Amino acid sequence: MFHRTAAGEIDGTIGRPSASVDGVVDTPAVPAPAPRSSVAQSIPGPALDIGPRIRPELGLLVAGTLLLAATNALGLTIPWLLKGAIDSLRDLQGHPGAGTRDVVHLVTVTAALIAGAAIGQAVVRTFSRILIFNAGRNVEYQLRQDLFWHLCRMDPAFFRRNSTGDVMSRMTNDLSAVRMLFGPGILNVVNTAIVYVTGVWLLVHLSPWLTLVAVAPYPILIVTARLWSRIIYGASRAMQDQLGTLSTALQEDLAGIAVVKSYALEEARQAAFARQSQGYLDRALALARARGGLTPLFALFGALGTLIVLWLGGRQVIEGKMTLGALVAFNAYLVYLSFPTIALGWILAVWQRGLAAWVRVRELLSTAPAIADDEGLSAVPLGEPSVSIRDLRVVREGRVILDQVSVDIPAGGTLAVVGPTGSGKTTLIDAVPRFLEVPRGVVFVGGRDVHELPLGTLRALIGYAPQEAFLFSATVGENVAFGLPPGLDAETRARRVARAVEAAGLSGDLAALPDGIETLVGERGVTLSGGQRQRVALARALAAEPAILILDDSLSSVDAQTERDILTRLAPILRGRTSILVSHRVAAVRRADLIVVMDEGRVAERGTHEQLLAAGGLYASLYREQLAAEALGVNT
Amino acid sequence: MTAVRARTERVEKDARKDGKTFDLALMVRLSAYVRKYARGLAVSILLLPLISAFEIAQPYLLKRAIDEHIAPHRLPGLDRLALLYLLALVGQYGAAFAHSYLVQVVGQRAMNDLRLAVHRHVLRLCSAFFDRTPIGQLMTRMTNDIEALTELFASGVISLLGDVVRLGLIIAVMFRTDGRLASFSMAAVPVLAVVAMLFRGWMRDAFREIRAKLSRMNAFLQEHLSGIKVVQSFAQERRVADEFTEVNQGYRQANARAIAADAALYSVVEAIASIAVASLLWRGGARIAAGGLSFGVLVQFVEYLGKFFAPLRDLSAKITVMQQAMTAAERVFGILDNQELDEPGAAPTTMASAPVESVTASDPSIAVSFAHVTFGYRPDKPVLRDLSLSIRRGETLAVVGASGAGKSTLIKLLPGLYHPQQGAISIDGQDIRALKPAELRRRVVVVNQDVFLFAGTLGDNIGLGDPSATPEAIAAAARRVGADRVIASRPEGLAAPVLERGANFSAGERQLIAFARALQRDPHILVLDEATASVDPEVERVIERGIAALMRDRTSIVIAHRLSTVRRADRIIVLDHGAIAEEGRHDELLARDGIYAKLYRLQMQHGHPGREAAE
Repeated sequence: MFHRTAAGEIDGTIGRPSASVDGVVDTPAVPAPAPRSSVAQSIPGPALDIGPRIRPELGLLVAGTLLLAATNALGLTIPWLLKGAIDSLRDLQGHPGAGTRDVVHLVTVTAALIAGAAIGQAVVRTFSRILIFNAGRNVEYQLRQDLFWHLCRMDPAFFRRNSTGDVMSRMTNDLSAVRMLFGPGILNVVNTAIVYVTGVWLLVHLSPWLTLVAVAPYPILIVTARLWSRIIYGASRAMQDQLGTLSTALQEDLAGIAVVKSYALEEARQAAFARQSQGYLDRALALARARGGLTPLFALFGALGTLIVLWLGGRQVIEGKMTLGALVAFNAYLVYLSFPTIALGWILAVWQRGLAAWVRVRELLSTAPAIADDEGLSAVPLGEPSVSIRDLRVVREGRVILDQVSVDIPAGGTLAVVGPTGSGKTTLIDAVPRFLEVPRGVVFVGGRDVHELPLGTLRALIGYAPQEAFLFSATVGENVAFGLPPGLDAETRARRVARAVEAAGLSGDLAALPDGIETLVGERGVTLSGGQRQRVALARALAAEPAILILDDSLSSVDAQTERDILTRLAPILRGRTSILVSHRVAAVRRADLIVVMDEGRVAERGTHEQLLAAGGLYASLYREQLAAEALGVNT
Repeated sequence: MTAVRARTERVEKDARKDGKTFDLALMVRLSAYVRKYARGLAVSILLLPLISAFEIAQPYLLKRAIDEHIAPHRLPGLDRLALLYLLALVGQYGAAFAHSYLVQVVGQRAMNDLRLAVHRHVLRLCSAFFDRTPIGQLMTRMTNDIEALTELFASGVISLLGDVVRLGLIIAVMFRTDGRLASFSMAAVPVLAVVAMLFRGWMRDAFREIRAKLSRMNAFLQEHLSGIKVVQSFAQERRVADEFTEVNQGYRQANARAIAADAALYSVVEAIASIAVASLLWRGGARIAAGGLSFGVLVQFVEYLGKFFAPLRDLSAKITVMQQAMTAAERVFGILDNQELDEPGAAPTTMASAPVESVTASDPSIAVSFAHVTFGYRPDKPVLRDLSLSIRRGETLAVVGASGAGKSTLIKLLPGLYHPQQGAISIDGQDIRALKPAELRRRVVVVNQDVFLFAGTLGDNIGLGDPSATPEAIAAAARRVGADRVIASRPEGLAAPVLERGANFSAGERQLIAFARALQRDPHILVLDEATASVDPEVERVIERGIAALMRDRTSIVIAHRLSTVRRADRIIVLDHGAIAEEGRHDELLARDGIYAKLYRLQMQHGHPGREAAE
């Protein structure tokens, strides 16, 4: 009967939790795939329960709630004022002439008061929303901080199990859902509670019997709502899962486009994609059906209240048991209640989604990093940077990757590791900076068990140039300087970068680039060739001037001649450092102090270059073959 | 800190590009996809006035109830009105559900068609396009952007239309009931318009900022999560986390601004609505006192005013959806408009400057012929220069040369992945430009260095959906190339799962699978780009045998990295800077005393005849 704006605090489009509810639309970067299970060991880390998350925002929330109560209070005065004015007017209608001026005066004052209340309400409402939504955003912010920091410390095995896409989805979509829970979710729940309590009290005050009749349908509504929202949640999850499947299929088609073209698979892939897309369509429509029914259902229930009031209340007025003004006010309060009722369905959906997302986020946060510092570890003084591995055995998924491998590298010595793919070379060197969990008493750096060293200290000692050179979206210079310790002055930084670039054989390439060392290289260094990327990664390791240098086949994409040049340049640098070189090019490792030949996880041969050649085994035959191929200009 | 700011700002700048709210050209193109479902759309649009009619009937019925029954205390007829009110309610919400569902059906189906069309088109684009377009970008266009367009249907244009209809009807009824009061009530509209304009600008800036900061944050996350090992190996977690804090903060601040703007807008609209009611009360009350207005009409008007303001609240959100959809549409149609197709006609090449050598046109024993082929990925930087080459049927040709000499390029031209700027390539006397890509690629199969496997099963990867690839055929093909050991090494055999990109198979195993895949195709012409030699002699022998099996009795071109392959070839060509430097059989080259001879002498020097001589 009277305008519904006096009602509750529903923001944005009703019944559409996915759209901008607090007025802001987040574009999901990645569609959310089905959450995978991860190793969940509970540790007391970042706040895992809702309570500690909310506590810092309690001030904002309490203030916001109080303002919300005030908003509602002001909102409620409007129907009450209206009631008074209506009653007077109605009296007037019945008896024109008598006291007209007084009535008009009263109505004018009432109108002015309503306007005042409206303005006051606007102010208070603005602040209540700002406070509560910001509380939600703050929780999101802190969660994201905690998540990122947590992820920074997770072990490589974790990132093998969980793709970047998965993790990104949790950090965007799931955090969004959690924020909706803590912001608009809480706002609407509190608001609904306040409104219901005050509204019902006022209604009872006017007419207990009518109130009973009017709110009778509500319990049915609640039950229906819960069932319905569970259906919606199921449909929503199904759709999201299918979206994940669709995206994965698409990603494959794009990543393997060369194969798709070469094997003329276009039609087959199109057909497969069409099937997946149809599946998505079906689920999206199922969700639309479920969701589409919710709002009308709630709205209908709300409006039914008005109908009951009109019908039964009208009778009451006709029978003289109730004044018209009271009826009007009753209806106004009922309408006031109807908005939160309509929102209830939406609130339930938000809560369900938010809690599910919260569970996933918490799961992520509670996964302990498999490789972490022991308790109470502090930096210890180190001896000379020697590296020692004793009887290392690594088993992964039932396969033996390394079997009783032992090596000793004195400080300043160079170890070379050669062997076929899959022989365990990378796994072996991953053990040194603890990218692989090893038992105690197996890996020693600087004379100390790696478990006794804080990971930060250990890794700062080691300069690692991997086979797969990953570069950040930054200039070449910034990439090379990545490992430099903070707090260096600009001149020192520039000097070290220049030295590293020179040693890695990049000077010529940089001269050919448009902006030299300031050239921007895209995600994964896309504008550079494979060999150039590897050399930048090498320079990065060198610039850090580490005590221990590990080069994992980091010159594999560089041709033999260039590799020889770089190795010559590296020789003086390597002399002062303990180094481990992995290569499948035997000529590159000729100068090493000790060469170890890996075969199926075991050390097949060990010795110096001369010793191994004389032995005439695996190493020897390999060396000859590669040398010959090189002369032919053939790549090995 | 500057480094992070600098590089992430580049991402932000891109995201700040703001689309128009309504672009007619884009809407027209979109409507082409909707046209197929025009009937459903028409029905849903027709439902709109129906919904509004039901909705507006309610206050009218209320007015009558009050004026004719409740106020004058007249009971009979109240029941009937109540029933009508119920019908109006059910009608309104029933029709509303039908409408919104129909719109969704149309929208989802139309966007599904669009998604399939884009997919189909993208698969037809040429290799050069894929070389320069990052997958991530394509993925966003084909998933997120199309999602944004679907959102358009769900909560954008159509409901705006509904709102316009409803507002129109309300205004019409109000004016019919009492013109003076109606004009008075409408006084709030210009006020709202001004307020909306003010806030609109504020909010658009806020949203744009949010998009920019979100892109920046996602780019940062994506990068640093992909490169987490680098971060950890240089012990830079703390620094990277601090950089992230800055990015995270920026996002939060952008949101705070939007929250403030949105809260203010919402509250002001509500306030205006309440004040409008207050004014109505004041004016209406005066007229009732003067006897010129019925009480029921006042109540009715107050009701209508409420319905009038309701849709305006959602307007802001809906306009945002529209804007995002327009931007998305622009990007999606950008892909569809790309005409760089993988077809000979579409390639910007010059016609063959020299006719195909007459000997190949009439010589049925020639399987492959390159005639004066010049090609460069960039037209001004040729990789192959005036290269001419003939390969006889059943011959195995080995190609050797330094890296960058043009070997890989040569084999990319044969299946038509790229097209030469000059010259012609023919297969069995037929210019490959005359063949459809699908047909050409059935005759020429390429086995690459870098083996790409699809997620699925081992069997799928070997059979590749070919109906003639029965498990027996696949197993046979695998056996012939030595890939049966790979199948045997997995408990599930052919049903063994293959992870993304074949990460759960070693490089050697992937090679063998690729051989099996090629053999299964039984191609006319085989092109093999050998992977770098592995050290393990046993696996090496298996691969060598596999290669031999592949090339037996088949026209083959192999970029050789193994001495054994080179020796086994019928003919060897040595490429140097895009041209053939030496050519001939093993013995001829030896006698020529060139590069090849040098190798032979090296072997003798070492005094170890080696495996090859022993064979």
